[in-house]
Amino acid sequence: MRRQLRTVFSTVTGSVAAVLLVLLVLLAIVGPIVWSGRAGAIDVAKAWQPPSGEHWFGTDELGRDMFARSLVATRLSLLSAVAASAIAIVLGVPTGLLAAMFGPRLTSAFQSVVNVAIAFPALLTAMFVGTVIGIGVPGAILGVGIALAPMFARLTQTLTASVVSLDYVAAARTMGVPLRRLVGRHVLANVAEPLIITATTSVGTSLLGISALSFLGLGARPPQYDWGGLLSTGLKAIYTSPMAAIGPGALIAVSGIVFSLLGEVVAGAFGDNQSSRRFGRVARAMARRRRRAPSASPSDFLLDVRDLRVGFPSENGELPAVRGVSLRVAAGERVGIVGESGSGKSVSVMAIAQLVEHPAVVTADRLSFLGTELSTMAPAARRRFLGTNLAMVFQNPMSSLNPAMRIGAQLAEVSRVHSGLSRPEARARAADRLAEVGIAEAGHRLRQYPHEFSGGMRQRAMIAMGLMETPRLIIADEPTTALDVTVQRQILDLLLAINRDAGAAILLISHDISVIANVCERVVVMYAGVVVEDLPVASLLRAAVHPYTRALIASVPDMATDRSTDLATIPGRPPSLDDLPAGCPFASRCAFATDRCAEMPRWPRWPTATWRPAGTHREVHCERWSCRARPDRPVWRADRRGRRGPGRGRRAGAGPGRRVRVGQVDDRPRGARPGPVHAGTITAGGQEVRRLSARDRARRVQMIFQDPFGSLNPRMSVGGIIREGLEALGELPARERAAEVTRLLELVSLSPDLAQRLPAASPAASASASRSPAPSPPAPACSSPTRSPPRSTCRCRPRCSTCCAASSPPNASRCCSSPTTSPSSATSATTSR
Amino acid sequence: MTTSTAEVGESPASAGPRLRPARGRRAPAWVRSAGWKLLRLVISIWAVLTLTFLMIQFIPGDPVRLALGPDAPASLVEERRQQLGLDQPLVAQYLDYWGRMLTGDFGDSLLSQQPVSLLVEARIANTATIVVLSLLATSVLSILGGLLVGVATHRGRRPMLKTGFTMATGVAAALPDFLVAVGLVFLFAVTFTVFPVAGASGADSFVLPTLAITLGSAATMMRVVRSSTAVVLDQDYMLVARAKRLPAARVYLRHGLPNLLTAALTLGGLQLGTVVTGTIVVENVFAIPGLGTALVQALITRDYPVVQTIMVLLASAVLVLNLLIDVALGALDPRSKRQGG
Repeated sequence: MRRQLRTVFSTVTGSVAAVLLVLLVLLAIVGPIVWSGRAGAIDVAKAWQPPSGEHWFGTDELGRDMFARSLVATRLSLLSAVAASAIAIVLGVPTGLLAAMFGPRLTSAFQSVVNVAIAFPALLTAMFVGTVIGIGVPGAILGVGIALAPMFARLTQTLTASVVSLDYVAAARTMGVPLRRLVGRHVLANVAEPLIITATTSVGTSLLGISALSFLGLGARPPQYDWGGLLSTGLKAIYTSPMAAIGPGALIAVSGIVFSLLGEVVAGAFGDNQSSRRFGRVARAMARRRRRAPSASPSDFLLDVRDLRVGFPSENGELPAVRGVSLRVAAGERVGIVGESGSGKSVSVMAIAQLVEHPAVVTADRLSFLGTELSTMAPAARRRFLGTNLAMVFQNPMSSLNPAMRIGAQLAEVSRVHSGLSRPEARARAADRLAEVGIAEAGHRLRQYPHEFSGGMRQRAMIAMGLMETPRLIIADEPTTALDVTVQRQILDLLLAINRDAGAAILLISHDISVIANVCERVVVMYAGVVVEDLPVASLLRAAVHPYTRALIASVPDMATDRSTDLATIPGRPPSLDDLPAGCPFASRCAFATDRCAEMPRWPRWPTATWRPAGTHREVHCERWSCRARPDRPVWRADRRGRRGPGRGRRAGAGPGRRVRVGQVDDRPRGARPGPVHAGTITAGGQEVRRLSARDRARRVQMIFQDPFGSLNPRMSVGGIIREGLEALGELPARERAAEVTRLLELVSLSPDLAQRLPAASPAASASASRSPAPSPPAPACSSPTRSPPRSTCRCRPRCSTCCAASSPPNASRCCSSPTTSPSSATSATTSR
Repeated sequence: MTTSTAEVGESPASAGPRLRPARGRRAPAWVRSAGWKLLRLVISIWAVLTLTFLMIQFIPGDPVRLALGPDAPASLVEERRQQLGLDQPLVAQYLDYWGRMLTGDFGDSLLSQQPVSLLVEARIANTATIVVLSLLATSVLSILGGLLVGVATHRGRRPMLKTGFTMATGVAAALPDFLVAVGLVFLFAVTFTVFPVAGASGADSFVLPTLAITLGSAATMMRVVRSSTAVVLDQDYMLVARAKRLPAARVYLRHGLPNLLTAALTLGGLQLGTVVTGTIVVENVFAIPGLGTALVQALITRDYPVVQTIMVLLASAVLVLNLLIDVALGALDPRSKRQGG
């Protein structure tokens, strides 16, 4: 709450709104005390007087002072609004909470009722209630309260459902945390914030609603009066004494605006515009910076980039994302760019492709493609030139295709725009290109929408889209990162085939050096916005000299990696862009760094050094945890979006059987997750999981989830999360738990200081692993634990069996003694059926 | 709205990508989807009818005595009770109510003794004109304005424009329609006398009522459209559209517009429902003889048959409008069309 208050007062709008709100509340308190005498004084002789020094807003039909009446009416107007909101919250929030917590069936029934209720106009609902319980203030309050309740119900339900489906609630459930605590600590705490914002705005909505009813004569009736009632009185005399209507009207308007502004400020609607003065100054200074005239000499290379720089303006000055990258690609060459996330590799190619958007600023000494300097070309000519000669493939095929357009239209428009083909011609070419990238029944597929394609097929369609014209260069930005390993291979093979057959050069970006080594002839290693090494792939193992390149090579696990040693990881993190060291940016993480590294601005040949993975030797004992399901039927009942029904699983993107099997350990249905096991049994430690109590199950099986950030409650300290697990298990006496938390944190190589910190500040995957406390040997079931963190944090704990679900065989084989392959029908089903 | 109805409406066999068209027997997806939407409309209208029927039953005490006042003779109260059928058993009343509503006989007004259908006939045209004009004005203004401002302010461009837009629409959206209406009356009755401020005498008498409703709802919708535009412009497929080097107009209108309309209609569709009730308030300010003025009069005088009829009509209008929005969403978003939303 303190944070919200700060947010409110940090903006001018927020401060004004807050001050006005305080004034309104004060007026509501003192108004009736001070002015009620004047407001009630009848003087028929002075009826309908225009505004004067004595009566600022004039008088009404009985000669009463409209100004005093407006001030007195503040209390009734505000109180009724607050009461109506309270009714809406009391009715709506518990309903929404119940609907979200108890099963998908109740949720969907609830949703259909609430959706109709919410679409039903509030004014009609309020009038309905008013008719039944009689016209007056209580009728109006109850009417508006009931009318607003469905909004709270739906908001609570959707918020809760989204929280419940997060991994940290699943994790707390697996640990056997009781329901009461689950709702309070994990669910309510995380949905409270948006609910408070809505409650603020709903006071404003109620105020306007009740005022409207009173204005129509359906709310406060004499002798009671609120602003709405006063406004309708004033309207009668609008020709002679307009202030009588304008006065109360202005009060209604101001309060309505105050509440809606407050809600908006708290919700951060004003916080997201980067319009701070400092930011604007930096952006303008960057935009003014004199562009260097690019060198005119023609280049023999297909792509020739010299000293490319990309900067983003920020509050703290310019952030140099790319700091002088030079890159050359020959015709037909396959070049890979490798680097950690944030190394500037994507930004570089986006700048080359002229796709970097405002407010970033791009400069380069030379940016020549096919011998033409791109930065000086006229926009229309450049659009046509790049549209026909350059193709791009992006990282996430799930979101790169327009969901509202048929695949055929998306492909065909490229040639219709750039080559002026007719509709049938473009269509025929699209069918031809789809077939070329290995999509069967292309003619039929053209009529489908992207959501009817699997992930691998969408990426093929993206590539086909690039082939509609005759590209000389294909830029592929992490084209396989979002795909499963088996599909990855197919996509890479396809790119290779295009390079071979069509002669298009390929610029492949990846954070995975093994992918680059498989596809490319030359590799460019980037770190913190600069190229640290550029060498042929053939000599990668032999001739790589920069310690960062060597670290990348060493951290690739393969099937042959010795399972008994720790994975090589690169300690530390890349430097942040607003605090770059003067010398080698890698120096702070480098085992070979010397004083010279802090000064050297460029990278000469490094003295060759023997590279040895750091870390301690740890013995791991793994044992397969038995998990059976009937192979003739899919184990999952729901696809990723959690809809139920047989056969749904067939089309799910990435072989959900894997995850579902592991997830079944927690066999209660939850929001967007698969339903309970409907065939087969799961046993752990010789007992069927379903028969175990929550506590016993938690003792035997623990989960480590794929997304470490999702699986830790952002509002609890790391120590609190771990302690909660210990409490749920009930093994240790309360006073020993703190010591155990420290021990567990150390076990996963984390500092015990982290116990006080929130998860946002800790290396999340490790913390997630340590939450599974180890009284008796449990089996932590991991679901792709290393997929999202850049380097492997998966380190199996001693003395416990693990069942690790991973899409990459080397990762699984590192952890586990006997990997089982999930019968993944996901990729084959969609292509073959 | 679409997601939930998708869950209610979908049947298992519609899942999964299908290379060949569905084999026999099953109706095509859009037929099933339209069927589900119609069914939902029918159920909703049934609920509205039943609730308005029960409204009189819910009133504590004797509703007729309440309506006619304490001075009315007992014989008159009894006569009106019989006229309303309140002396019949509940089930018989309910069946009779349905029979009458389906045949368009809405009963007689308690006060004037005129058939309610006559009243409705005389007034529905004014109300419909205001509602349709306001809906059109709201949609056109909010889509054009929201898209233009959304594109112009995307990614921190023109921060001043964005701040101004947020402030202006924030204030406009926070002003209730009755207040805007009163303001317009003040302006045009006192300062400029361009448009008539009372009655429905000609085409120009609808200008101010439409303006009063449109200002607030267009401001709200415009904000929704602008923020949807910002979200849609950040989507990967918009980057891809630019990477395909399509002309700007094609990028925004062909790739952006359908997607942002889906988002904006899902979020802002409810706003269009409030346009229908806005007419109740605005008719009263401008003294237009429409359903809204009749409803408020009937509510104050407890003329139950009139209240029931107008509530049913306005509620059905909102429900039909929501159905139309749903159909539009289905047409715009192929995913919801498939899944029978």
